[in-house]
Amino acid sequence: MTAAEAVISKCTKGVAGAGAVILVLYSAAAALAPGAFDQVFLSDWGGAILGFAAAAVILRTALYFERGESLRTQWLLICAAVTLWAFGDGMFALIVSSTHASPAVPGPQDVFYVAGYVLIPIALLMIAYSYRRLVDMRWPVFVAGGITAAFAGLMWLAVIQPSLETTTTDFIERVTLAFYPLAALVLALGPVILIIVTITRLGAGRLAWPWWLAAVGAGAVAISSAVYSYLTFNSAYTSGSLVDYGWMLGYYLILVGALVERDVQSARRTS
Amino acid sequence: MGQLAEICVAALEPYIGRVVADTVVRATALSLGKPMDELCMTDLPALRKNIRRVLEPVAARTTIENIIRDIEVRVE
Repeated sequence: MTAAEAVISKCTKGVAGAGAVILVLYSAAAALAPGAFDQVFLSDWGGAILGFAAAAVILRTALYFERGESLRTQWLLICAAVTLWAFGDGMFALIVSSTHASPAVPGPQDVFYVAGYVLIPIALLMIAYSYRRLVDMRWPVFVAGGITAAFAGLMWLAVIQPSLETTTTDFIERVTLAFYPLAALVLALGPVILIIVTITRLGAGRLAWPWWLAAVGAGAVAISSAVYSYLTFNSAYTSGSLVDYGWMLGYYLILVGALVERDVQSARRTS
Repeated sequence: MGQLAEICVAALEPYIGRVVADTVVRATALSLGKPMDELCMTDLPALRKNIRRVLEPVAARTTIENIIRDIEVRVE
C-alpha cells in the first residue's frame, strides 16, 4: 500500500472519483452536443452550485482546526473567496436566465468576483509564508516574482493595453475587463507559483498534498477569469464556452484539496 | 547518522519529505553546537521544541503531537 493509499480516506477517493467523472461527462456533453442542453443551466448554474459545494466542504475542513491554528485561518480565507466567486456565478446565472443575455460589464456579479480576488492572494501568500521555517523562501520568491513579472509584461502588451486603448466600448467596461487578466496574474497566479515552488521542496511530504490541489485549482479559476475577459472583450464569449469548465475544474480541485487536508491532518500513520 | 537523528528524520519524512526533515534535525543539532550524528537522548527536549516551532504554522496541533509521540515511541 502506498503512502497516499494509506492516508487518503475512502470518502475523499469517492468524491474525487465521482466528481471527476461528472465533470468530464458534463463538459463532454456540452462540447459534443452544444444545442442539446440548456447551456445556462449546465455551465452558469452548474458553476455556482459547484462553487457553493466547494465552499461548504472547505468550511468543514477549516472548522476541523482549533481556533488560533494557522490552517484554520488559511482555509477560512479560501472559503470566503470561493463563496464570493460562487455568489458572482449565481448572480451571473440569474441575470442570464432572466434577461437571456450576458450581464453588463461591470455588473453586480463583478462586485463578488473582485472581492474574491482581494481575499485569495491574502490566503495564498499566508500559505506560502507559513513554510518560511521549513524552506528558504528566497528562491521561491525570486522564481514566482520573475515569472509573474514576465507574464504581466507580455499580457500588458498583448491584451490589456490594446483593450484600454480601443474606443469601441465604454472606458469603465474596458477597465473592468482589463482588471481580470491583471488580477489573475498578479493576485492569483503569482502567489500560486510561489506556493508550488515552495512546496516542491517538500517532495512527497503529505503536508504539501492539499496545497498542490488548492493552488492548481486557484490557478485554474484565475486563468479562466483572464480568458473570459479576453473572450468577452472580443465578443467571443457565450455561456457554455470551454472557459466555464475551467472555473468548475478550479472549484473541484480546491474542494478535493480541502478533503485531502482533513485526511492528511487526521492520519496517525507516519510510515 | 546517529540513531536519534535517524528516528526523527524517519518520523518527519512522511509529512515534510526527506530533504526538509533532514534540514530540521540538522538545524537543531547545529543550534546545540554538535553534528547531527552526535544527537543523544538529552537532546530530545530541544528536538521536540524545534519540531513544534517549525511545524506549528503548517500542521494541526494534533498532527504535531502525533509526530512527537511517534518519535518518543521509537526512541523507547
